[in-house]
Amino acid sequence: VPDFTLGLIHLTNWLGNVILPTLCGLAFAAAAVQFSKGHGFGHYLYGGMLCLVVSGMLRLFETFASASGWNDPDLYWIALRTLVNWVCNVIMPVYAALQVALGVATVADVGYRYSPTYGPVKHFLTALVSLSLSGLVRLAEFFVTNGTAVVSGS
Amino acid sequence: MPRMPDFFQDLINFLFAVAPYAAGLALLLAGMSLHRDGGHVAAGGGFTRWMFWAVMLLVLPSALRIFQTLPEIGVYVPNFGSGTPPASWTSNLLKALHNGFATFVKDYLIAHFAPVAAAYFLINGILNLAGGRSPLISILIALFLLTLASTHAFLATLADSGPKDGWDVIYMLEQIWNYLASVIMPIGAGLATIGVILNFIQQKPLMPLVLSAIAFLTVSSLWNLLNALI
Repeated sequence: VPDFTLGLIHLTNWLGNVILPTLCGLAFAAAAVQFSKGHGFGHYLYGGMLCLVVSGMLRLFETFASASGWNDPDLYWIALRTLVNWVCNVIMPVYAALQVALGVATVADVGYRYSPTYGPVKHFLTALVSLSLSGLVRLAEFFVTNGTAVVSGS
Repeated sequence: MPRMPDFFQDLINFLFAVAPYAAGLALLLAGMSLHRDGGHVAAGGGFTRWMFWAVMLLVLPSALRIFQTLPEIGVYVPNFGSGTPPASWTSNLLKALHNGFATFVKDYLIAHFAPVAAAYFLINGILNLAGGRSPLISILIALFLLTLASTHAFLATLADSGPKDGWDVIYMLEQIWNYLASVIMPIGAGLATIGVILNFIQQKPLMPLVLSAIAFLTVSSLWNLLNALI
């Protein structure tokens, strides 16, 4: 194997396993700042979580791309179909559950004054999040680690 | 057939003997051209052309055997190993020129100049990052230049394992394509996945990188699909 290939593998590993998990903290900090200003913070929050699961994402793409033989001309289509199935049958039901929960909370006006989007609570919550970012990163790592254990069945 | 004058024979032998070192020089120029082409490996672009010449120079004596199948064309093919001067050389000047060129390419260009050029491209990558552009291409060029000796040795090994029947250029290009499709592209999928996450955070388009990550992992299948379409 030429050194260029090894260098490329090491570069990918370094970016995926060292740099992105480190940037996860920065993404959570950006999410806290966006939240305090009342802006959308979902991209930073979910992006921070994704920073911890780069290997998992790649394994996911590899799973999509190995749904048939490597020389099957339909493999790309099968991989795309598996991706669409995964988004529609796994991700969207979770999203739907979240939306139902939010809908019920809105209809019932549950805890409006204590809602994270309500003025004073928002600022206190931002202060709390800002002071506990390390803990939140550890919490995200805990979720990822346990998620891996659940998926692998260990 | 009249005998070739010694001067021309020595000149041709000299050119054949320095061809593998010239291939190293072509690899260096390929790396530098990649930057000039903006990181695009375009057909007819500098990188593609210099890589082709690197392959051509490595298999030159074997590749010329294709013309020996045509009896009307008398093609001279040296019978010594490529890169080594023939034992019949008595001229100290030719030996000195051969050794000088080999030393210049191996010790000066590949061992010392290429790492300095790689360091330049690292700085270039950092400046690209500061300007809001991706440093990836500069870093890949730096990696390519830093590992030039190993890449040259790898290609030389492939050239040695060729059929030696005149089809060596095609054999080499096939081997390089296989290596790209089966080794380099799946690593590219890892880089594309990292790009997906970075683009997600920055709210930039995701789908081109998602689709290309899957394509990087299914290159052989896409090749078969292309064949099946015609």
